[in-house]
Amino acid sequence: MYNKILIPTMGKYIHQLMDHTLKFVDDRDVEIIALYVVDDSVPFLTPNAVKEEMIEELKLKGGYFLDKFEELLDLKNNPNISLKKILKKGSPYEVIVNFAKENKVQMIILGSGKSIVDKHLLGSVSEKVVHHAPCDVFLVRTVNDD
Amino acid sequence: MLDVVINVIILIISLIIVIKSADVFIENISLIGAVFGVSQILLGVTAAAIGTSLPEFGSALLAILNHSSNMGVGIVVGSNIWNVAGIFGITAAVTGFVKADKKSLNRDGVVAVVTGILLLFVMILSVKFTNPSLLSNNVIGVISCSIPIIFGSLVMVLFYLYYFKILLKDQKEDLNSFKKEATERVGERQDIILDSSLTNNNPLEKEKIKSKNIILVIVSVLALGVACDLLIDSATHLSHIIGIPETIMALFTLSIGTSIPELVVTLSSAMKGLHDLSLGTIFGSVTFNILIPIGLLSFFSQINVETLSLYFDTPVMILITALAILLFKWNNMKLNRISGLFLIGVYVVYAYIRIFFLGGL
Repeated sequence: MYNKILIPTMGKYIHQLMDHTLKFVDDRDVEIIALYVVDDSVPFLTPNAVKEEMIEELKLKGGYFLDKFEELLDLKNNPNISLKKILKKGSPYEVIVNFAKENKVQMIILGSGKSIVDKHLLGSVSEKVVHHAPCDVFLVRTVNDD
Repeated sequence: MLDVVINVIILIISLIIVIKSADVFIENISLIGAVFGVSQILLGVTAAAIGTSLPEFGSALLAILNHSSNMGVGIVVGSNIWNVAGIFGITAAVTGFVKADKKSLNRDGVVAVVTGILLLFVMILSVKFTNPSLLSNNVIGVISCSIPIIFGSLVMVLFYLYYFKILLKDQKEDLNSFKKEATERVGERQDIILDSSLTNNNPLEKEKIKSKNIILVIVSVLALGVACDLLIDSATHLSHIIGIPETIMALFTLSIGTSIPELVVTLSSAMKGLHDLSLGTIFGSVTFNILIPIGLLSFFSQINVETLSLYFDTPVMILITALAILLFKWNNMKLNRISGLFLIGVYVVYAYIRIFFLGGL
């Protein structure tokens, strides 16, 4: 049970996510898939050159956060965990849900994310994932660490 | 009434064409530049610094050359006030905060303030040295026409080139330090599995110029020119039909309209956590909007300076830019939601005073 876990990360709350993941996994053998989604959506009239620049920067950021994720997971001291790091492009919630479906993920661990005000203004990836995920979702109550 | 509706429709359509053609121009000229061996850093910095500001440049150019030379300064100064107070304000209010890197804020923010002071200085020169026969009711100076003023304009253009050089140097340094850090990080780590759409998405790496690129550059320049002309024309007509001064039209309608690229870029990059891009877009535009349209165009045409531009709009622009920098510094290099709402409030107060007390409505 729960030996294939997907952890989408956008960089924020990465320490809090990792703490809960390690506690949850304990000493069971699990495969963890860390996923960073490069959000390529831009509003109408955004210059294409700037869009490309955004994608390049998010790609670099994603790589950085996935490496950070691996570092925090401390694979040497947690040999029961195997890790896959994946960088994908698209709408974050759609990519997360589709990836979970296609790869038969058994659990998604993600942060509760933004404050109520921000959720109303910006929308919430975690809320959409909770409603559309094909598997169980472990929602970590995250506190803003900015 | 029908006249107003038709002109508003023309204004909106021409605005969309102006923005889209500026985008197509920058994209294709970058591709052509890459083939001719222009460095990717130079192309990237140029696209970021100038890309979002081409609509302001085009419309200021057409306003100065063809229609109303009073509108040119209005578009530039109005855009800058809107960029800093309006766009920063909206972005911070919606996304919660805009974060600044200390180095970028000290470089781009300070340059934006110095640029404003430089414009004020050139305006004062124009008041001192303009031939009185060129002056009229509201116009108290004309940028161009005499050696001291042209010297001031030259300083503006040279200052921009110097700033651009610094931007390039910093970009190169950032890239080198990032590459170094990335190499050090790799070590014995697991590989990251990349989505196929992410493995080669740099369009500047193409090796051949297609005739399509050249045609698109030509078509986009023509479209930019025609659409800017239509934009200014419809704005001038609207101001006459509704009975509001052209400067008010330039300061608010045109400046906000031509700043749509800055708004969408700043807002979406802040939402994605790319705060450097948000900051660079606004301060980069503020600097470009003044130094290139005013500095460069004054060599070729007369740019009228209105009394209120000199005594009210330009000082307000400098103060608002300085205020935004102080708000960032005051709150630990962040512009939070409250500061954003405060900046929006400052813009509303400025617009109210300018339109209803000083604008002659």
